[in-house]
Amino acid sequence: MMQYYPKSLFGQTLLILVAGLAAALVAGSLLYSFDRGKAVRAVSGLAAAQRIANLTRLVEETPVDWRTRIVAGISDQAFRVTISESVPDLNQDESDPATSQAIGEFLVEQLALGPGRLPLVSAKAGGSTMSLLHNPITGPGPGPMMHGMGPFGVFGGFRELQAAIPLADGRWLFFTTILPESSSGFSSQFLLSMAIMAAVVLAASGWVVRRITAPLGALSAAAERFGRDLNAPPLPETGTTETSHAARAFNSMQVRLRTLIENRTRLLAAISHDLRTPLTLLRLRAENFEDVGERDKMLSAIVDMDAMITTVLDFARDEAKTEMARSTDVAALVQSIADDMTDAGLSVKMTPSDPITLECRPIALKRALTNLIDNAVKYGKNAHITVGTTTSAAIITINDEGPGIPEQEIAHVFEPFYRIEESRNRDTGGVGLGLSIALSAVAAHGGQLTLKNRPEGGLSAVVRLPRP
Amino acid sequence: MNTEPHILVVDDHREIRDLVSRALVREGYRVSTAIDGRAMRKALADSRIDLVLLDLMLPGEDGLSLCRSLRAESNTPVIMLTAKGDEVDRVIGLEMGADDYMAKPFGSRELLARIKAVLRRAGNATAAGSKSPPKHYRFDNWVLETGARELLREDGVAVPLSTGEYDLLITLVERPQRVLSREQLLDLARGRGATAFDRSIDTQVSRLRKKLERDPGDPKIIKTVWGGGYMFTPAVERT
Repeated sequence: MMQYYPKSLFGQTLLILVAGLAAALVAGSLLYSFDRGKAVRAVSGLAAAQRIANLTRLVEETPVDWRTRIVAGISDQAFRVTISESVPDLNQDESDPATSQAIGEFLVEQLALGPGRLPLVSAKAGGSTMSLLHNPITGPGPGPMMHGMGPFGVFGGFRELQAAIPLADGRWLFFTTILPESSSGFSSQFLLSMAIMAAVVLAASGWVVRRITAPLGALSAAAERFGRDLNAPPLPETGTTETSHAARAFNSMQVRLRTLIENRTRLLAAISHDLRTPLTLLRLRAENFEDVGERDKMLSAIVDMDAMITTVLDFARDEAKTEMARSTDVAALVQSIADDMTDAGLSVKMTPSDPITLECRPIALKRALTNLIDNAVKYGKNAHITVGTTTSAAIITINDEGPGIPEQEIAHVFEPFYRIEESRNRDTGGVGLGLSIALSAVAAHGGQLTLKNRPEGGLSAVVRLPRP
Repeated sequence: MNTEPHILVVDDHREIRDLVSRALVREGYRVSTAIDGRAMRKALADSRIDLVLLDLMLPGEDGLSLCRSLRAESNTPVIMLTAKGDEVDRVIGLEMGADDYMAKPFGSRELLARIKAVLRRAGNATAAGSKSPPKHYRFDNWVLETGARELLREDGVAVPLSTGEYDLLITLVERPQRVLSREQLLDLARGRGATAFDRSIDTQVSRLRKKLERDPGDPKIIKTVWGGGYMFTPAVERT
């Protein structure tokens, strides 16, 4: 059931509007038709009762000899009157007690009947057109008086009214007539007008809701674009007051963010330059050093220092956020890293893979994977890389055969500058940013990076990158 | 008449200028120095310069814009000295027309190797009548991008290359339809300033074939020549 519930604001608003409109229409129509049915019944019931009372009075005041002739004269197809010697046999089967009683009481009151002369009334409930066809008093098919047009269309059903009133002389005056009943069904005209109304309201509200939600879509698209491209064009500040306000706020945020990032980039470039110029000097001077042993130590210290500066700047620069995403064969990317490391004499193996095309930021991803493979080689002796895909993700697994990481440390190793005690003691260098940089780059791709100790020993680093 | 190449070192840092100059002079080059863009333009006007070593961060006009204006006027090769060593900056530097780049902190041996490679290429290029180095090489259904150092597949998907693969491939596409022995390839790749292959040329070729060839078992692009070496068979278009 929930799967049909729309997720978009547009869909939800429209659904609420449609459901509300439908409920209002149904409730209104039902209420109106019930009310109408009651009114029609009350009016026609009252009119029939009044006629019965008048005729009874007329018959009572007529000399006994004339009564039969008068009764014959007033009787017609739709309003039959007879005089019988005995109590007439009323068909009480489907009598509606409330209506019967109301009409009975009306007659008693109108005719001032005493307790010894109570009328018998039977108002058959819910008669249908079909049953009317078989009604002896109406003959085949409804007569011209038996249906009419109201705002809700043709009266669909009729009810039969029978009333027997005891006369003063002990005989009974017996009336049989029909009461029109309004139909609760709807005519095609009614349905058509409702449909037109519903369609107009729906179209209008659809348009209004679209107008309200469209700028939201534009806003989220702009935010998305800005996330990928810092120099994305600003949103047009048009539309309703609220929309143009939101667009203006978004644009000024974009400008502030861009300034912030540009300042940071400039600052980092300056720091990087200022640190590396003296490092270059040191290196060029060290090369002229006579003592070969001392010279090599100095050069290696310079290399370490440069690597540290690079790492810290990489982390601060957070390139994954600024590099442009492009379509790349990730399998070839991983393979090229593995090949470079193998060529550098490191123990890295990769299971060959078919191309896996993914929209990604190759430089950031390369840095992240290089850090992970580097860790595997440094702490785990060797790295074995496999690349694969599921329907929703590309998965890169880097296994090593080292001691793994104590379980309680796994959550902490992604923290910047965090280093496990063992790796501090061992002379492995680094500043504790490799995993932080990797995590940040993978997260910028909407992916996950997990570390776990393998049951057969060694650590397993798994990178999941979502595929559209 | 001096035949040694004349190199102009443009850096605002005095000690760097001195140390680099000393290393270059020791290697037999003639060296001039400039402190900024203005001094660089004066030196270029005063004498024939064969190569410019240009620092990225300079007071006044920065290295990137100097490089662009230099490229607009002449074919003098440029090696950018960048402090960033960052791939994005390197790509931008190469886009601006630099022939190569050197990340600080560099050592003199690396620097000399790059200079030699760029000069050699510039000499070849002048002989061939070509101007700045091509940014793309097109062959078969592939495009080799020199800026990002990667291959573009027919559908525009980037196929990253390892350093060894790139160095070998660029050597091959510059000399298409010629038989090259393993020794020649190794020498040419080294001559470009590439770090020597630790693996044999054969390993690099087989890796490249896996990425390039439709059927690596029956190579059509990089063919093995019996007793000779390798030949890059497709026609190459430089753009």
